[in-house]
Amino acid sequence: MPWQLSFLPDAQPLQWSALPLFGAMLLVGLIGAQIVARIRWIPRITGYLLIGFALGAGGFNWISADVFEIMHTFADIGIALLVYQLGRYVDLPWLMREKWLLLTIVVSSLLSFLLMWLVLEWNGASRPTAMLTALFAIGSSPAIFVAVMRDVGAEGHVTRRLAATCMLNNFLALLAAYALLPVLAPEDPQRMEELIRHATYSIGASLLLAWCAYRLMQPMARWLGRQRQQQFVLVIGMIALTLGIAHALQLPVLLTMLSFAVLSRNLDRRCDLMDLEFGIVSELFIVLLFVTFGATMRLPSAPLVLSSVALLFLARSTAIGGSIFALARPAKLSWRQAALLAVGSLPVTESGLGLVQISAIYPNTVNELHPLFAGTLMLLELMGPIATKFALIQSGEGSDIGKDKGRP
Amino acid sequence: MTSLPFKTSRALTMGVELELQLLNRRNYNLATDAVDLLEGISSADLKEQIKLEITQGMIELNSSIHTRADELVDELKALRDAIVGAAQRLNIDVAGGGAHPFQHWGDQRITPSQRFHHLHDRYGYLAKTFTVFGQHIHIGVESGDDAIYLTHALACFVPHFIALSASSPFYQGMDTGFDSSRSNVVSAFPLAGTLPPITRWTDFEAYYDELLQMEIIASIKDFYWDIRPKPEYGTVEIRVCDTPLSIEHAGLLAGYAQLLARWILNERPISVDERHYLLYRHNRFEASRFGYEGEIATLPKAGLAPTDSKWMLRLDILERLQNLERYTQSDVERYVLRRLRQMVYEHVNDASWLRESYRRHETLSEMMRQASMLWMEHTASPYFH
Repeated sequence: MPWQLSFLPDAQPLQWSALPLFGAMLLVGLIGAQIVARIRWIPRITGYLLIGFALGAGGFNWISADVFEIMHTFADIGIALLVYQLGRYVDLPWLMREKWLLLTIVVSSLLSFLLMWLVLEWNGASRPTAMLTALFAIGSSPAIFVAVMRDVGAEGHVTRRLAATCMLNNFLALLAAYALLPVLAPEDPQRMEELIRHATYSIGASLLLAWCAYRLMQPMARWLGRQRQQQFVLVIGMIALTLGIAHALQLPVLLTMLSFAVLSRNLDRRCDLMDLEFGIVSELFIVLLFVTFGATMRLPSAPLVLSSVALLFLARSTAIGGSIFALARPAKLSWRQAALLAVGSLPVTESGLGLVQISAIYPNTVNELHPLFAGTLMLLELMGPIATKFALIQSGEGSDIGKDKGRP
Repeated sequence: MTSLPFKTSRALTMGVELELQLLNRRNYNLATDAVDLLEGISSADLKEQIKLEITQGMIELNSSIHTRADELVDELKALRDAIVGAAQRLNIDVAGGGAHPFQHWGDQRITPSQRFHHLHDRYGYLAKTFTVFGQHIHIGVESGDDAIYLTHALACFVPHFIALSASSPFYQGMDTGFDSSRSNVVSAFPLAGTLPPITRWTDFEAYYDELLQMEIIASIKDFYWDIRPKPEYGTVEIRVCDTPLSIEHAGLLAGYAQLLARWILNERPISVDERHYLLYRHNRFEASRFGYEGEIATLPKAGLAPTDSKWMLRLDILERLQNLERYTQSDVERYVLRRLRQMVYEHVNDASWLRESYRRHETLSEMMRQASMLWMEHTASPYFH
């Protein structure tokens, strides 16, 4: 029954907009993070995830659809910001020189795909489901990595390799997944031509949009000059614009943003774009991003899903760890660094969530894959941040107190 | 009594230590890769000449002993190439310069080593603020007494070395107004300053022994003096220079020190007494703050007005460079003097180059990218390109 306050004009029922609930979400997320941050190895984002999970459909189901919609908008901008920051670490000339790193990323991606596919199919998943799940799960989570890296103020060799790995394995996974979707997806064979056109469009238009966004941003950056505030607004504006266009054109958002970030880092030869620390502003987006992730998590309901998630985790860890260790010596990594890189790569990407975008064109596929992804996220989103924090601190490149503690 | 034997070395040989900045290529802030960088150097011989420093954004190059500045520069180029190769693998750059322009001292990480952790425990935040980058020049001497005399005599030329090497105008994100802000950082240490007015090696041994007994020092390394004798090498070590932005500049400074030492040890032109250091800090400040445009002072002489005791540092350097011509023995040494004279005539040093670069590029990150290119890709100073 709607509330009424008799002294208000016409005694109209109070209109609750989504805003107070949205504000409450921020505050509760903040409290959750503050509580878990007291435990050494647990990063703040785990607190956001847990709060989101408790409030979302997996928990008390207190988040209404309109609030969820607002949160999603902020979360999209949040992930795009984090991906943009991650893109600053992908220096292509360096990767061309560091062939062993590039090889490690390719080998670990291939091996992850093969192992995950095999164990999922062995556990009863259909071949298309197993292969597509394995493809999407190749990538490491850019959001978790950047959020934890910021949290602990990490900087160094292991951090840079993890960043490059995270960026490129997502790129490989998304390219492969969208390219192979028409062939692998359990859809009506009559629609093959339509699906191929859609896949070509998704990849081609994403890359084109990213390039156009960069071509628009770079001259503006030159025109604005090296003014930190102006460039900050420019980047946020371009991110929001690109994101909005990608959504409107139904393009894979993560692929678009990854491409935009890498192009911005590597085509800007005159360094017109400044390296920006998004600082306090991005913290707001990070809270909402991970509360939203938490709210989308579900406890795996079926035993098949549960065992698949466990197997997927084991297969992925084995493949990544095996590849890194096998190529550690030629890559001049110590065993310790190799182990920490393997641990740091554990969080699985959220790119599977992007499947919702293509549910209209791939209805059967999304129905089959989504429960598995939701379950995988449940496990790896909760373990992933802890693993990444552990790796960055143990490498000596990050610290418990982060960078900003004690600053005015 | 603890003896502090002075190892005799061939007079007027020279060597340098260069502390370099490691920069991440993302935003050109200080990196934290010194340990990984050192592990990435494949040649065992070169590895001996590359050392870790107190924080992990620093690395030190040590030359071997030379008699000619050009040979020193050739060796530094080989060391530079080795370090650049290892740095590229880590995706970091290397640069000269006396201070990083915008690093925050609190972000620096102490290099894992017993000595560095001890220094951090003892000096607190000063240890992290010591993330500044200097060139140390060693000049060989035959005896401890010569070392003491040369240490005192070279102190008169500390403003020269500061002005000629100054390359730290920016610090903690600001233009400090100084040409060499690094020299202020070093001054904060309790054992910074100058050698006490001691004139014989035996007296120095006694002084050293007393401090050792009182547990004020543990070794000669604990003296952060601007110039200090280095008995285990048989040298006098000049420690006031900022690391220059280019390799050749480092060679020029070493060549200048060698020529000064030749003149000083041959002519013994400076008398050392208790008044020797009375104006030292003033002159040092003028050079750090104003570079060549500083005004240096000497104690007034009888019959002269006090105002005649002050003059431009620039003129003092030019006069000294001119006088040293008599002591040159090779074309290389004449080249050293010619290059330095050109710098002073044209009022250019690395600090002015950095300020100009900042004016042109508008960000300190881009300025550091340009500085790293200078160190990694060029040999000559930027004013001679």
